[in-house]
Amino acid sequence: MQAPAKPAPTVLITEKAAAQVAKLAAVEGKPGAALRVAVQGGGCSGLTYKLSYDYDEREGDKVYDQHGVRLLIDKKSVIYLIGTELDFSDGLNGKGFVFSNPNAAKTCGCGTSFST
Amino acid sequence: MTPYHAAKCGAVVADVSDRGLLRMAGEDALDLLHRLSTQDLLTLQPGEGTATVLTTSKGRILDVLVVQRRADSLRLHVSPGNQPRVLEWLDTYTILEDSEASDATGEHGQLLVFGPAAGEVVGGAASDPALVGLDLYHHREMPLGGAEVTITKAEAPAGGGFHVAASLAELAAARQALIDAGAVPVDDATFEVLRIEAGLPAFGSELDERWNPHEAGLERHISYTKGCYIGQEVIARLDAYDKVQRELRGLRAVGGGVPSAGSKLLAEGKDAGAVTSGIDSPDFGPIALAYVRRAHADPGARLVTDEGVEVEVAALPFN
Repeated sequence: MQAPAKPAPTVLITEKAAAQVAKLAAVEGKPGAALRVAVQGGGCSGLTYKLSYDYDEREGDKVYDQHGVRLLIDKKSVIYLIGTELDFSDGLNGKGFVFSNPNAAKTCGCGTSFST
Repeated sequence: MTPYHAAKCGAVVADVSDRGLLRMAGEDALDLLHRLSTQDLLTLQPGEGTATVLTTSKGRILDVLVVQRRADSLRLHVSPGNQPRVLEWLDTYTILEDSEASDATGEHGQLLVFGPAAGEVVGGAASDPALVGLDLYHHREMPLGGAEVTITKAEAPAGGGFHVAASLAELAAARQALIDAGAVPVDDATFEVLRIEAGLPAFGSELDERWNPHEAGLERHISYTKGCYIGQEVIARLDAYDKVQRELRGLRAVGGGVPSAGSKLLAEGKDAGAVTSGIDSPDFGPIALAYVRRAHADPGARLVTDEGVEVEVAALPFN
């Protein structure tokens, strides 16, 4: 009998983004903190992403460990983020952290805001 | 003196209790509203207020709100009957925030005192002459005629305006104190004449999801430096590339007949805009408000409605 397949993480973080998260955590004096990914109202298109460091898991959080970074996603934000990839775009014209969200019907020009 | 003339050289008091009042409470309420509307709200201190526009992601007008920061919550003045839509909108975008909005309209009666002598009348009734110098949208809580009221400096159809909110039980006492101090009661029909003369857009006529804040002349309620809010990208682009298609203008009927709301404007048979409000004014005759295509929006331009009323475009307010 096969073990049930492990559900895919709500948010997939790329190796490059994970490295940047760890690097910034050290710079901001929060080494080892988890990355909290959330959605809030606002931005040009209605909803916007919010990234923050957090040492505490909250009730209902989805928790994933990827590339050495722990991701925390609250239960209300999950529905907007299922299948999202978080990457990092560096270089002089880089955009920083970049979300690719399959739930976004529309995305604003700068990519930080979306609507479903 | 008729209420119409009192509004122009004295002061009048109107009952505006049909306007919506919402309460937003919670630690994140101000920040949330800041992220959802056009004005920079983060600097508001208790006692202060401002006007801001809720816009859709397409940059269209959902409502124009007056936001008052009170000691423990926000009070939002919304357009008559638009409370459900605004509450639904706020609820849609409240995800993790500590913010709760509720309808407080039924708890209050509302008056609007306006006219060139409004400051003296309100200051006299409340025994506080300093009210004359209250900044626009800022408010004070104080007794007036035995009632506990919130007095807010407000936009009004003529002269300075003061919005007075009181409990339903105390509204009559506040109103009487204002009348005793010299305010003349004004009826809804006269209020509408004065509103159109002043070029103040009203919800359902000039303000709804057909129009954007640029078209409605609401640029003063837009911050171009605050960052993102819903609709910001479209509103910024309209401004940067000068893409505004229509502008709110006045119309004077040239040959008689009042241009009626809903009629279309034509220039040599082609679409030139739409009439949104029309009225017969004692001072200016048959006049109207209209969204006029830019090519025809200069004062003096001659157009005709699809009902055959010949009009001339006028700047706002009428004078």
